[in-house]
Amino acid sequence: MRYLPLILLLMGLSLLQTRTQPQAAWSFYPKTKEVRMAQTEPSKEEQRALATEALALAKSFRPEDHSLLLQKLKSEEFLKKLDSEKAYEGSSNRLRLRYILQILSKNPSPSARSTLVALTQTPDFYKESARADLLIDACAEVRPAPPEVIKFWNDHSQPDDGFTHLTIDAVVENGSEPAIALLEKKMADMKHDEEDKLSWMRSSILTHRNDLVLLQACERMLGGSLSEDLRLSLVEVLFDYRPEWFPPSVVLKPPDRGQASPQALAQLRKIGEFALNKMNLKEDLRKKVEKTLEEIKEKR
Amino acid sequence: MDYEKIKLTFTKVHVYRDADDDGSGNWYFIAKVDGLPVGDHNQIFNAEEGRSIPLPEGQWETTINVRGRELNSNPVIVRFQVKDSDFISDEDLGTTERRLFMDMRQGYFDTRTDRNRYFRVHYKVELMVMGQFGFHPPDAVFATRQHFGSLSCTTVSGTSFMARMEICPILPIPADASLPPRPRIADHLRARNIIRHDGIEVTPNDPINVISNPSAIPILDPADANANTAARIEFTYYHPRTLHFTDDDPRLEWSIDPIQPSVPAGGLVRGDARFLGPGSTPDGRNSRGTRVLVYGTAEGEIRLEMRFQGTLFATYRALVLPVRQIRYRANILNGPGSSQPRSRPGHVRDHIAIANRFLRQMAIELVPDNDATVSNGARPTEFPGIFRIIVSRGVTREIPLGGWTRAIKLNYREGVLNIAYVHSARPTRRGRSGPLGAADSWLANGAGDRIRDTGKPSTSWIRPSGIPPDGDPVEQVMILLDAREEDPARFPRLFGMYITNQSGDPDFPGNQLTYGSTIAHELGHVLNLNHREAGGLDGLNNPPNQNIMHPDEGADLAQDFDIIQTRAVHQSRLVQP
Repeated sequence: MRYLPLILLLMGLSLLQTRTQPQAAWSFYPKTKEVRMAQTEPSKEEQRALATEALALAKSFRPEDHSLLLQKLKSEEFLKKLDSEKAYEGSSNRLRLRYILQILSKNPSPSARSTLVALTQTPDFYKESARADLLIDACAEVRPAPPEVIKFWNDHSQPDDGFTHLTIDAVVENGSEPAIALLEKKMADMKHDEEDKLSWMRSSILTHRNDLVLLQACERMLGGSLSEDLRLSLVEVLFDYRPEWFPPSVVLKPPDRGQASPQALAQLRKIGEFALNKMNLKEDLRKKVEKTLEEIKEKR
Repeated sequence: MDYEKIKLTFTKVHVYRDADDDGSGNWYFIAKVDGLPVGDHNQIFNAEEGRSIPLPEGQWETTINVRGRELNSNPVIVRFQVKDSDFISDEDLGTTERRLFMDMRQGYFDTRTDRNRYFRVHYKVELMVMGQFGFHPPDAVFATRQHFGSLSCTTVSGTSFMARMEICPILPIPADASLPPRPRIADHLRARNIIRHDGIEVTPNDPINVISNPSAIPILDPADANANTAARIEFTYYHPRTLHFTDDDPRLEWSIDPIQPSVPAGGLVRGDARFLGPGSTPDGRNSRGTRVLVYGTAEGEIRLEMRFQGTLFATYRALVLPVRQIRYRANILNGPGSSQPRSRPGHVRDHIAIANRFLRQMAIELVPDNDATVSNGARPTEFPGIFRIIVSRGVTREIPLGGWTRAIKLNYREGVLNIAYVHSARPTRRGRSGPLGAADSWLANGAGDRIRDTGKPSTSWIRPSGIPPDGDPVEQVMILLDAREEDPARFPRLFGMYITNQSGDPDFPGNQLTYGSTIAHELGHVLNLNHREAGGLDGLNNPPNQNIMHPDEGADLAQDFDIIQTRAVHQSRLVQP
């Protein structure tokens, strides 16, 4: 009998759980939407004041300010006041929170870094997808990426999760060795589609193809477990560029090769020679590689 | 042409003194204009002091052709002599003389004789304008001549000025710097631009022809041609504003000139069209005013010519094409949680309707695919051609660039445009917003990788435009997008695009326009059109911002499709023959 209150409590919870199940099998909107909409929207002035205060804390170099900011960012009440429910329906780039995280990520002080890292350990913060997007991106500035950030990125680059492309972009932008190691892991992960890996190459890798650490990883990937098609695509991305890889409205461009460091160019040469000697390149690609190697030679 | 004539009519003679000592006088008149007699000098009138002698209508008038005559040095001379008939000898009561110079004033005039103030002769001067003698406003134009870039007009009051009319095919109209140069005009000859430099707020309920001056005039059954279906062609500029042209102004006459197609490819022949509406003639070959309605009757190419009192004033070139259809499927891809497209089926229907109003400029129409076959778990909605599909988050959220999009392959059918409504796509740069949408798969155009046009005026008035004082146009060559296909064996004849939430809340009317315009823009790519801007990828450089295929411009400004683009899209393999 002494377990009776516990049994009753469990029964009550069970009933409560049943009531929160979607009533219709065909429901496109999460139940939480209705709950959120019932809350009172803060005024624009109030939202602005909150954002101004948070931005000032994010710009600060004082650890106590960052501590206070972290408290706010961990508060669901603060976050809901800062950006309305309607704002969350739109692009994450339009949230006020974006500017706060952006300023914080550009702040070189250790406590600013710690604040971002602490947020990666706060699932309540990033349970909202738009906030996760912003945090994934903000962490690109934390170099070298600490284990907490790597884990957060790893969790947000699972097959078909809707975050992976953003995460891979942040990982490559970060460019630190732990981050690039995560990229290699993802490229080798058979659970990710080849199509997705091709798009990582043609977007994230293409736009960072002058980065030494990335090029070192590319060399390893070419000698590793990538499929033959992807290995050829990787060579193509490093030595060639075609706007038609992209839909006309979203064309990406590689960086100017002239801006690459001598070490990066030397690494690229190594890859090129490997590709020419060890890979079965089509004539067109072979010429592209040879041409690039010739250009690099001239720059040395 | 007979508008350079004047008519002079002697109307009455007022008698001050009859010159007879006893009773009334017996007057007769000797009238001459330019030395030629007018009226009957044998006719005797009874002249009573203080009374007027009315002159019989139709007898005391003359018409003088003044075309080419330098009136200032060679004026029209009007003489009127009165004589009193007497038994012994006729008494000359005097002669009045008036010289009519260039400032040809109209109206009623009179001239008194100086001699003893016997009489006053009344006459009226009328000018022929538009084939009718009458009294016309002093600023009415009675003579026009074509000049290099303008029309020289002479008003009834003798003032000369340069007039110009334009029917710009690009709407909204680009800044003057992007247009053919206009001859300089004096400040007092200010222009009238009625059409805006801003775009219009296209809504789903607007008539399908809401965008004026399209590059294609649709071929319609005469029974279906009306103010809401025919092409609307209207002026975009004229000076001076004092011409006060009206919508159905009879001074402005339109005609249709079927022209040999500049590019024989595509099977085009001489096109033909008809005007309709209150200003048009019963056979539809002519119309009048600043705005006309036109519908096509034979596929090809035509030039509309607007004449101002017989002189060519402005031209407009267009293709005449049947409205060709593109079948579409729109799939709303709902992911878990918040990974939802914001647009619901009703929104999608409205976006397509707006896109169709843009596409009408090219005689293209999106129609729902009526095939009932579905795949990938697609569920029909209350609107034909619009489906919902439950997908994993990765299919609809932050979809990748640089690879191939899974979203556009879901529930697709060969040769049917597949539009995927997704949550978001990855931005092209960190911190930036993702794209509004993207075309992702299409086949090569039937025209190849380039298409040509040499008509006059040039497409989008690319200079030299053929609009005076610009010289004749040169051939324009537009570079087309090559095919973009992932794997034709696995996904044959896949034409697809995706639309993201980036256009904003679809309940907001301004955003509705952005969604619709994005569909029109991305469809342009699917139909092989490249981006159009100065130095753009399609190789053409005009207009600077107003073409729908501009890569960055907003839906409120980028609203135009031009002739060469229209030529191309009708050769896409997606367009139903």
